[in-house]
Amino acid sequence: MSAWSKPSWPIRAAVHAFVYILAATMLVPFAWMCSTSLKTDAEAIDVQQVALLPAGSVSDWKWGNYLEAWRLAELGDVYLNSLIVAVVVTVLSVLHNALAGFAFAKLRMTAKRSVFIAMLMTMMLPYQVYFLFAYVLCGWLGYVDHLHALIVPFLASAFGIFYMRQSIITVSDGLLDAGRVDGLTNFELFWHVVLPSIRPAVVRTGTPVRTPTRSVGRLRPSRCRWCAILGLCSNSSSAPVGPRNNGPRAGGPTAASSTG
Amino acid sequence: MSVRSSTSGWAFVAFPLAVIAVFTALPTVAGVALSFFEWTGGDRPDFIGIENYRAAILHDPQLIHSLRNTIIFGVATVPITVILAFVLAVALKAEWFVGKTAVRTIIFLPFVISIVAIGFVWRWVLDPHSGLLNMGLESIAADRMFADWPVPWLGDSPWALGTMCFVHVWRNLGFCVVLYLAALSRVPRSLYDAAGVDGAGSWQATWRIAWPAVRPMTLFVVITSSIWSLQVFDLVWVMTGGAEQPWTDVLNTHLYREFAANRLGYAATIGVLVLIITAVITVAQLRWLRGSAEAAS
Repeated sequence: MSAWSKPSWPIRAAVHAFVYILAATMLVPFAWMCSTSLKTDAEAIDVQQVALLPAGSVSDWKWGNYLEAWRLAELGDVYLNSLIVAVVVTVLSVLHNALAGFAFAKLRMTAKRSVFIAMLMTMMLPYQVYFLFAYVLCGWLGYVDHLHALIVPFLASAFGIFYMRQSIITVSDGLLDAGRVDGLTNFELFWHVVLPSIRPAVVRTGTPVRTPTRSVGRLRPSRCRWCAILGLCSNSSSAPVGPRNNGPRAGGPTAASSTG
Repeated sequence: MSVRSSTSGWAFVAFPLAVIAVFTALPTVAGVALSFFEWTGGDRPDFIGIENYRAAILHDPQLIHSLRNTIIFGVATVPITVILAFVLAVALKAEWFVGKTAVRTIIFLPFVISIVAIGFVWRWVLDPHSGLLNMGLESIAADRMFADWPVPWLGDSPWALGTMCFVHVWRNLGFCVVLYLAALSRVPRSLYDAAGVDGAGSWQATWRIAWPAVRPMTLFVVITSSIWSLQVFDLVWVMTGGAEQPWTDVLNTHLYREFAANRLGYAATIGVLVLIITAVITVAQLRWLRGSAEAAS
C-alpha cells in the first residue's frame, strides 16, 4: 500500500499491538522449549516450580543436552540423510510441481479440470489408510531400507501442483501470448517467463519443503511415519524422527533435538 | 490461453502425474477398496461388502461424536485462519509497519516445530493444576469467572475442542501468512496507485483491491486449510493422549484407534467417510469461489 493511504495513528497502534501480541504467543512455547532443553532432567519434569530460565548461571545450564541428544539419536548420520533427501526432493519436486502447475494453469489439455479435481481428491483420504498400501508398494519396489523410499514418492505432490497452479494463474496471459508471438515454445515460456515471476512463491515454500517433517500439507505427518517405518536401519532414517525413536526419556535431550 | 502452441500440456504433467498416480492415487484406491473387506492385518482380507458401512452407521456412537467434532473443528478453524492470515499479511506488507521481518519469522516459527513438540508444550501450558495458563488466570483472579475451576482445557469437555482449534490455527497461521505475502507481492502497485488517484482510503484499498487480487491464493488457503482441519490427527492425539472421549475425538483419531485394534477394514471405512466429506466440501468451495480459478485481472 502506498504512502498516501496511511491510516490514522490509533489504527496503526492497534494493528501493531494486535500483531505483536500474536507474535508473542507464537514465541512463548518456543522459548519454553529452548529453556527446557538446557535444564536438567529433574527440572524439566518438575511441574511444581515452573521456571522460564534454567537454574543457576549460564555456565550451569546443561549445554551438554545437545551433545547427548546428538549421540542418542545418532543425529550425525541422520542429518546427513536428511540433507541428501531434502536437497534432492526440494529441487526436483519444486521443478516438477511448477511444470505441472504451469500446464494446469495456462496450457490447453483435454479433460484438464477433471484430472485436476481427481488429483485434488488424492489429498483427501486420511494418510493412515493410504500409507498402509504405499508402504506395501514401496516394499514391492524394493525401496524400503534405502533412501529411495524417502525420495521417489515425493518427487511430485498434489499439494505442490495445486499451489503452483494458483500462483501461476496470476501471471498475465498477455505476457505469455507476447512470448508465443515471439516464437517461444511452451517450455521456454515456462523457464524464462513464468519461473522468474513466481520466484518469491517458490522460494518461500521451498523452505518448508526442505526437511522431511517440515514438509507441507498432508505430506507432513506421512513423511514422519514414512521416515520412521521405511528408514528402518539407522543409516537411512532422517533427522526429525530421531528424537521420536528415543521416546521421551529425558525432557532435556528431547527438547534439545526438537530445537535443532 | 488464446494462442495455440505446439507442445501439449500433457507433456508437462506426464511425469508428475505418473508419480502421483503410482504413489498416491493407487494406494488411495486400494484404501477405498479395503473398506469393503475385513482384515486383521494377518492373513488375507475377507470380502464383506457393505457390512463395515452398516456397522459404522448403525452401531458406532463414537463415530457420530467424532463426526460432529470434526465438523465443528473445520467450521471453527478455516474461516478464522483465512481471514486472520490475510489481515496479518496485509499488515505485514504495509509500509508503516515496524518490525516486519522479525514478526514474519516469529509467526512462522510454530509451523516448523515438530507437531509432537508443540502438542507436548501446549499440554504443559494447559495443565489444569500447574499449567502456565491456569496459573496466570489465577494470579489475576480470573478464575472466579468460571463455574467450576479448574477448567479442564484438555479433558472431556467442549473447552477441549475449542483449545485444540486454537492450537491448530496458531500453528498453521504462519504458513498461510507466508502464502498470502507471496500472493500480495504479485499485485501490481499500479492498481493501488490508480485507486489512490480515485480517492480510496487504505481500508478500501485492502478490501476492494488486495482481497480480490489474491483470490486464487484464497481458494488455495481455503481448500488446504479445510483438508488439514478435517484430517487433523497428530495434534489431537498428542494433546489428549488418544483418549476415547466424546468431546475430543475426531474422525482421524477414531480411525487410528481402529487401525491399532487391527480392524483395518473398518478403519478404511472411516477413511472413506473422511474422503467423502472432504470431497463434498472441496467441490462446494470450488464452486463458490469459481472465477478465482481463472486469473484475477
